[in-house]
Amino acid sequence: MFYLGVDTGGTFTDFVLFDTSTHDLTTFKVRSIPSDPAAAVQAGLHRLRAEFNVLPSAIARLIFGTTVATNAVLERKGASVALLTTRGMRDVLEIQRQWRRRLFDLYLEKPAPLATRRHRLEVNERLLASGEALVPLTEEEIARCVAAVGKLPVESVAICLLFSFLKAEHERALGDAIRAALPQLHVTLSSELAPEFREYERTATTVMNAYTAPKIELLAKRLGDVLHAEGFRGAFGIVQSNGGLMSLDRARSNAVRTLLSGPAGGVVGAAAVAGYSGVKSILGFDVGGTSTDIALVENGEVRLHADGEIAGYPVKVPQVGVHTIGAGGGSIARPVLGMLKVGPQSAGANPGPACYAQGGAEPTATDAAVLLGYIDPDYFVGGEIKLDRDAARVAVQEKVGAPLGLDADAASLAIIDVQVATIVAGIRKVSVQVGKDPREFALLPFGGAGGIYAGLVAEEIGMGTILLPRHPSVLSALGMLMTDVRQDVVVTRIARLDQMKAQEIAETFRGLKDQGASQLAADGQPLERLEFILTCDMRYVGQAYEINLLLRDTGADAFEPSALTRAFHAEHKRLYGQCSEREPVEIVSYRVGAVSIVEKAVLAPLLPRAASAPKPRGRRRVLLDGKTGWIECPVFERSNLAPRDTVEGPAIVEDRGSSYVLRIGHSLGVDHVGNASITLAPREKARQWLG
Amino acid sequence: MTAFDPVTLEVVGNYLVSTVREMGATLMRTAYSVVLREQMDCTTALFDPNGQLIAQADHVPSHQGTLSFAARFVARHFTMKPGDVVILNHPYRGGTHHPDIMIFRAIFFEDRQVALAGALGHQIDVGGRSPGSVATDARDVFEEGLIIPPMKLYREGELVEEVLQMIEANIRVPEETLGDIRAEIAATAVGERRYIELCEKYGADRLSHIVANLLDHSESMMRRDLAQYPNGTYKAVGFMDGDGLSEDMVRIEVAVTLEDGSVVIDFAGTSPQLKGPFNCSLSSVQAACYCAVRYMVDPAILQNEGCYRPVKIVLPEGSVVSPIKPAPLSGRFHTLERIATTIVQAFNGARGDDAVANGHGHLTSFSTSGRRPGNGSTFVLFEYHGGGWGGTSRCDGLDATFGLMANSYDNPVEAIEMAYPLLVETYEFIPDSGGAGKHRGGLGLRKHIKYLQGSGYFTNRSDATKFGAAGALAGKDGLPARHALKRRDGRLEVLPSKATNLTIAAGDTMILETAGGGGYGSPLDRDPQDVLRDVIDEKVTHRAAQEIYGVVCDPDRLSLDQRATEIQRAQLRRDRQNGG
Repeated sequence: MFYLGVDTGGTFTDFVLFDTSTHDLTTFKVRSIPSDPAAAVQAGLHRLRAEFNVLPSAIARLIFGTTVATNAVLERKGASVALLTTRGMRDVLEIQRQWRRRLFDLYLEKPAPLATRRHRLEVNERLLASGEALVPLTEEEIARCVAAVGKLPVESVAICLLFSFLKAEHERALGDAIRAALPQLHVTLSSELAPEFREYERTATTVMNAYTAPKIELLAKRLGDVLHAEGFRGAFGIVQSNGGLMSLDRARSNAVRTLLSGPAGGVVGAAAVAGYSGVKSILGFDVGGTSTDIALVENGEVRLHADGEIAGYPVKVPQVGVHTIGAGGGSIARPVLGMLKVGPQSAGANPGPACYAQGGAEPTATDAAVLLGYIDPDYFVGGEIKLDRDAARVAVQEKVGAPLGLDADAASLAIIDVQVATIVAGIRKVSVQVGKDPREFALLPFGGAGGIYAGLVAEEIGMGTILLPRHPSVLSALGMLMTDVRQDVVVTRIARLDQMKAQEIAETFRGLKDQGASQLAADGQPLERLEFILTCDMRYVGQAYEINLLLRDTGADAFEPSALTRAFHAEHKRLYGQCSEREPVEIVSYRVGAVSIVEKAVLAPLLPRAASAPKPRGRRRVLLDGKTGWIECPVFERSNLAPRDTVEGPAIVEDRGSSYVLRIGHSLGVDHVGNASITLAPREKARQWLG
Repeated sequence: MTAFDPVTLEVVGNYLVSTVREMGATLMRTAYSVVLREQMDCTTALFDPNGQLIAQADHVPSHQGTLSFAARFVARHFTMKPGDVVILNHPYRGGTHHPDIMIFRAIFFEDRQVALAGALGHQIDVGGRSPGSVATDARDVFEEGLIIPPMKLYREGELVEEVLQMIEANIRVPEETLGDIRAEIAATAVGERRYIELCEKYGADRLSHIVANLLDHSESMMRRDLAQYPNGTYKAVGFMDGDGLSEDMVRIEVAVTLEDGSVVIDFAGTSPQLKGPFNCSLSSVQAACYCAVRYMVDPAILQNEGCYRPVKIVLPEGSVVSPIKPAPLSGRFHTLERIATTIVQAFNGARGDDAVANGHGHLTSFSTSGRRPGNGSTFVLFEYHGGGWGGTSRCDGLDATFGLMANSYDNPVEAIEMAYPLLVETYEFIPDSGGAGKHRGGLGLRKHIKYLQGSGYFTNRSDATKFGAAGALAGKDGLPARHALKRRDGRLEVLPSKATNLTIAAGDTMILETAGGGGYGSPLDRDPQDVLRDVIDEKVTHRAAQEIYGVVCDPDRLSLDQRATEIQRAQLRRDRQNGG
């Protein structure tokens, strides 16, 4: 029996096959077909059959990571959406809280609302903050709304009324009526999707779901057809932004929960894989073609938050904390205002970096890495793409070197340095800006190019350890096989803790647990192995932002207001270095993650090699910095490294999908599951290479 | 001095920016008051020991230059020791206006001062005669609140308790204000930690050279961009409705002289200092000038002292922009918005076809107070709103967005209603409020808030009710702002834009309409499809489309009558040429 993880990327679709009897892992990549992600899945299944003799019928579980919803948003190709909102609130979605993204720009344009004004209808109803209806929703009003929606040229309807997170009746009545009268329309209710206060963020999330749902619907149908035709009869799951799985059916009504599907798989994979090496706290960074995703995992916990955004639109559903920066392999380098900038403009996959020789003439980070010897032009994606080193040299020399008065070598090093600075700033954002010291974490690079920067990034930040996973370039797909089915539920009920009883809090959580469990059951999940993760959003009375507090102890006394208050003070102090113990504390929202534990892929121990030292595949010249100049170093094939092998820098360690630059003073050791731990020499007092 | 390579500059510049952002994140996340957090009315920055700005978090434009003015004041007047922290809000000694309390921490490395870390937070109340310390009819700086002259809050790491006690005894909501001051202190501590790390990495001397290079670099980029404009002197005049005590219009006159990359902004002709609180402290005027000039250059230039060097400011003493103590000035923000708008307007003379229509040019700010049901505790709600931006040669102005000098978040309706006995009935765009043009001005917005319980006060400090935002290059003016109270019995009281402590009671509704932006270019040149789109979206009325834009359409059928439009536009062109 097999489990199959499939992660759709912009250029490649990654496959990881896990054999449940031998615990063997097989990985490969297939070219993505952006217009039809299911076609790449089909191609992968064919390759499994032809090359590995694995039939679709032998696959018990198939987990899929998708960028369909994400791309629909980024490319503005989602559905036409109608929004029903409380009378007087028609423009909340477009006012966007009056905030703007960038200062000092008279030509700024804000992200266009995903439901245009003509498609935003006001409903004559009104709830108060107490939950009472100031204006009840009448049958006539419902009928009027249904008729009005029926006249609009839309595919999808979002309903978001004021205070629906307290009482959902009005939204439900409208939703039921529209579903009954207009069954062709997709309907999203804010009270079902994101029942939290702050109407702009809730409306935007609801509209985002309505905007992306038809795309996911289409994908679900197409995938279902393909898998059925291929003879697959196993369980199928999609990775959510929270790192957990949901069924295809659930994804149809929760499209917005897939926006971070791929990156979430990566974070889960990074945490799980590091766990096998006994490393609990990591800073993972995945260098892709156009961007780098950075995530922090502390004590093995993938923490979630609910204030994400995409393309300038807020998304209030729980998601793994991934910070995306515009620095990837395809990021274009150019001098701007006398400083060297790399990214956020990207050559993407097409035309790609200059060295792809597909018509790209702009110098990119990948071109610099090729010129410096970090990437073997003949072994990129296992040789499937031949790189043109001369094209890289011309681009770097002409567009970066000449304007800055540098030769191609110095220009390439400069490009790498600027990339490193950008990644370091991103790592600071997810660590120091939330009160974490990155030096207490191991750096975990993945994606094809993470290994090119890891050594420099760790040196720059002063991190002592880098953990290079065994399968860095397909870690997201692997992570999909290492996670559980999860359902997040939330409720906003603002109340001061010093005026509450433990029983009320316990009951609110019990209600949420029941709700999460019944949603899992409705989704076809067995309820034998359930776990609940309880958190609540809390703040000092009068504060406007909340801290999400994880309830580690869920025993009898866990809900005592005094205990929660103490835990909040402690968390506030941990995050911000101060707290005010005299101030009253309030709970704003309660959150429960209902998790149904499933069988997962495991990393089996590898056998150490009989012979003594690992043999390099070859040697090549690399330029690590201006001081040491060009040096020749050994090149190791990753799959030839076995447990207990050690390698001293300088060296290159590469496989079909990735390259790792082991710098001088760094030593690499392989552990029992094949992960490589890289130890850095203690940091010098003052850095020399910059000068 | 060694010139550093572009890569080192980029790398260190990057680190400094992420450090001031980290300081800002600490401040916002730990702050108490709604103003500070949801409105992001705060800033954080690093300075060299002379008070020259090294880097600043870009939260609100109006803080450009304000902290550095105070930093220079602190650098000049204090001998700092390790662990020293200075606090101030004195508007005539480095400060801006009373609510902005600033904190400066000396940063030492290897026994000498290498930098100053600064934080500024707009406090919800600092005493004085009106809650929120924003009395619109204040007659002097003493009525406006507690004045904290620059003084040490920490001496060599020891808190001077008496300072906090003094503050605590003079303000209305001490737990919030002291909480926010603590947040500012925490933010400067973060700045200290990071700057020391940077010193460890590069060495203090080398770092100070790199920083000096960064400042020089920003200066040269500013000069390069400014030199693109033709040399000359360009003038503009802007007006405010009144000063809160009288309805006499306040005149802001600027003459901008551009010469090979440097700028002189001369305010000769500006109104004498006001009796009401709309005068501007020196640091505030600088902020408005720096900010307006920043809009004229590449937004990507790294924000530091170098950006300010090409700018010279000439202020007539005893005027609105250079008042003499104890002239009141707590409402200076409204003046700043007008100053910045007027400077941008003056630059239009040098911008040719790239002239920009005026934006709404004001901040709508009001507060309302009363007692909560139940425990009867006092509440004060502060609301801030923007309006439409001016159309440009490239695009329409932004709808309902904070002005040139501001950037923050509105209060969510649900947050308001859960915390206060108020009901927000309407929060929406005002159709036709954006000035017509080839690229139209952004729309203003309308907010109706009903007072539900008991009675209390309503204070308004806004502007722009007497005139609309000027269009550019034949673009039309935007719609002015409007303020009113609709009494329980249906009576509508139209209000001046500045009114303090009006009594308000259950059943009354506060009506606020903010101004739209001016249009760019002739409305007859607007793409008829864009007009049709606006008509269908009800941002422009059918009538305005026909009479002002000359576009004939049927919004119900979503269709445009091309032929009728051509005829209508030809007719309107003739009318307008004939002075119609």
